[in-house]
Parts: sequence; structure tokens; C-alpha cells
Amino acid sequence: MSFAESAARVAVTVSAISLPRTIRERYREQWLADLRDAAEVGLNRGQIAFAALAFAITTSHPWPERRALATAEVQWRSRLAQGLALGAALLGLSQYASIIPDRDFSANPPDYGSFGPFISLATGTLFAFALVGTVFALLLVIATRGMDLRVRVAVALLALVACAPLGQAAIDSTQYGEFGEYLRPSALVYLFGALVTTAAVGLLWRAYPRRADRARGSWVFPIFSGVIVAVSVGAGAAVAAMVWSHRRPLVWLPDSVDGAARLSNPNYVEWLSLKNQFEAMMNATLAWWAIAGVALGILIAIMPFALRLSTKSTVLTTVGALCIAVIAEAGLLAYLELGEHTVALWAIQLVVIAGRVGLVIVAVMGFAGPWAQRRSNPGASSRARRASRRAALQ
Amino acid sequence: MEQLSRVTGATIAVLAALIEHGEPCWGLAVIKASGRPAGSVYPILERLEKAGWIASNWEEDTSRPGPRRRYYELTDDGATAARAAITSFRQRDAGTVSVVTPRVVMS
Repeated sequence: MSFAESAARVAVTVSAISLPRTIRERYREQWLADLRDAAEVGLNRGQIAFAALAFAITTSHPWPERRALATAEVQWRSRLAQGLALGAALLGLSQYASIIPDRDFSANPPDYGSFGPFISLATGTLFAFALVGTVFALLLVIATRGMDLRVRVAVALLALVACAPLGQAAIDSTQYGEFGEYLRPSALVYLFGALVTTAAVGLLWRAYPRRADRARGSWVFPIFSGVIVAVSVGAGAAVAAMVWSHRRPLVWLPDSVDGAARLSNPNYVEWLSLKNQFEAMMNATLAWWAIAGVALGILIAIMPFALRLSTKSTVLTTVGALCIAVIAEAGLLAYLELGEHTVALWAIQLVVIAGRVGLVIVAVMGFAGPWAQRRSNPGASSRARRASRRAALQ
Repeated sequence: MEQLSRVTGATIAVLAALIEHGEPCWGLAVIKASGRPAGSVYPILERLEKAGWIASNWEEDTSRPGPRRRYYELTDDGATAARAAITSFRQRDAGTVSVVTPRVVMS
């Protein structure tokens, strides 16, 4: 069997596996037969393989009947499990931004002054939430055994991501000091966690029916949300570089120093070189965050249209994006050492804590908020929509 | 039998291929005859089957080893509806006539 034929068989088999159970075996056999006999009608095996992949991607996965029988209570538990698991996973991932100010698990904690007890309490509470939330989410998923397999797999994956800080600690305990801060091998734990979280969110997305019947809402609110996100990120970067930076005097002062004073300074050339270097760093930081802010803002503005999000979902998405932005910004502040230690250490931590708390609220409210409870059975609503479409066509 | 929510040129080509063939037709033969890519025809066949326009069965030839071919044929109601749909489509868009003319390959 040639490599191309083997690859085509693998593609067909994988495509069949991803289909709903009721049609999985039928298409697997049909496609394998088509692959075997494609040459008879002059078709390429690759065409069959690509067609199978396209079919698998575009096929809607019906909510099985057994799920329609699930009670509202079971639905609610499942949603809560998804919210808790996603919140715990985001907490785990957001720990990445705290590596430098926290000096992680293997170094002495910094002195936060009078904010120390509050920061310790807040971070301890978030850690406890990640732990308890993960365990609770898994227990809920076990208790809702009739639910969609994708939901159950997604929750398990998110529980895995929640353990990212433990993975980081385990790796760093053997390699601490050999690598620079954010670029340690332990960063791979977070990269892996981000990929797994993306896969889990994709599974959850596929687990719910499309909302094709929802009318597109006004463009004003999404655009407004996008502008808020873009301006917030840009303003945060400007404050970081121009106000908080302890190198600010070095960067901005030179223009006010007269020429004689510069020439009389024996270290002027070296100082000027440093100044240019820091200026370039600041400009790069500002440019990067301006681009990131605009991109994030555009994404937030477009998403409600592309995904037909409701106004409440748009609000949650916007808040979530802002939380991620402030966490990332705090991480960058710490990485570039832009802050004075007396203020920036606790300020950065407070920003990270606020962002992390916001992410948990968005995750839990998004899945298990009051409006989510009212939409109790997505499978039933999907069938109702199909029935209504059929009635309209007859 | 359900009405189709969307009748495209590719759908008409598949229906025309099935009508032209007359008897149960192998899925790949439908693809070849319709002149449409396999990626378009598989979902159309699935949609037509769900709507009750066509029915499909495994091949009855037991002499061929391994996985079985799937054969499609129009149901009685489906054949009537298919002819009506083709006529309606051709009247609406004369430019697609050449596209939907089937090239049937016997299997």
C-alpha cells in the first residue's frame, strides 16, 4: 500500500470517527470502498479523502435523544461544571503572568508592604478556587453521565490545564536559575495549556447547536466594545511606559539637559547609547501594544457578528478580553521591569488579581449565569428550530 | 418527504444524475456523473437522504471482498420532486443547463 493510499485511509478513518455515532460506521465503510474503487471512475483517492474531511467538518452533530431527556437540573450541573473548569483553567494559565513578581514557588516572595496580606489572601483564594473548582467540575461531570461526550472531554482537558502551575513548579525545581524568567522551559507548560484550552473550548463550542436563527443585532454595541478594548490596552501601555517606568527619567530627561552639562559628563556617550536603547525598547513596547490593542479591539467588534452573539455574550466576551489584556500587560510590565519596585510590585499583582478574578467571573457566568439557566435544553431548542423551519417550508 | 431548504446547481446536478441513471447508482458514479467535486456531492447525498428524496443501500454483490459500496436511488416521491426541481431550476436560471447535464458512468 502506497503512502498516499495509507494517508487517504487514515484521513477517511479519522473523518468517520468524528462523525455522529449513528452514521459513523456507515460512512467509514462507504468511504473505504470508494477509496478502493476510485480508480474505476477515474477519481483521485485524495479527492475522496478531502471530501470525507470536509464532510466530517461540516456535518452537524445532532443532540442525541438521550440528552433531550436530561432534566434541567442535569443541564444546570453540566453548565456549572463547564464554567468552573474553564475558570480554573484560565486561572492556571494566568499564573504565567505572575512568574516574575511572584518569583514562583522556588524563590523568596517579594515584599509587598502593606498590600502583602491582601495579595496573599487573594492569590490563596484563587489558588483554592482553581483546586476546588477543578475537583468540583470533575465530580459534576461524573454526576452528569448522560451529557455530551465532547462536554465531558472538554471539562477533563480544562482540569488538566488548571494544573499548569504545578507543572511549571515541577520543571523549574530542577532548572531554576539556568534560564531567563518567562523564557524558561516551563513556558512550554503554559503553551501546551493554551493549546489544550483552545481545543476544549472548540469542543464546547461544537457541543452546542448553531444559532443560525438569531438575527444579527445592532453594530453599535460591538463596535463600542471593540473601541473600549483597544483604547484600554493602548492607555495601559502608555501609562506603563511613560508613568510607571523607573527608566522614564533616563528616557525623557535628556532634552532638558543643556549641552555644556552633557559635554562635561565623561560618561555621556555611554549614557546616550543607553538612552537610545531604552527609547527603542519603549517605542517597541508601545508599538506592540498599540497593534495588539487594535487587533483585539477589531476581534471583539467582529466576533458578535461572526458568531451571532447575544448582547450579554458580547458583554462577557468584552470583559474577558479586557481581563486577558490587563493580565498580559502586567506580565509585560514585570518582564520589562518597567515599574519602581515599591509601587509596581503590588500594583502589578493587583492588576493580575483583578484580571484573574474577572476571568473566573466571566467563565462561570458565561456558562452558568441566570440567562444560561433559562436556556435549559439546547438540544430541545435546536429540534424546535428545525421543526419550525420544516413547518415554514411546507 | 421534506422540502429542501436550499436547491443549488450542485443539488440539481446530483438529482439529474440520479434520474438519468434510473436504477440504484454507486456514490462515486453519482460524483462522476454530476461533474461536481466529491466534497460537494457527499453532503448533498446526505441531505437528500435525510429529506427522504433518495434512499441508499449497501451493494448486494457479495463477490467483491472488503468494504461495501453504497448505492443511491430516488424514492418515488423524490423522483417526482426532483423532476419538478430540475424544471423549476432550469426555468429560473437557464445559464445552469449545461452544468446540470449529467454524464452518467455505469457501475
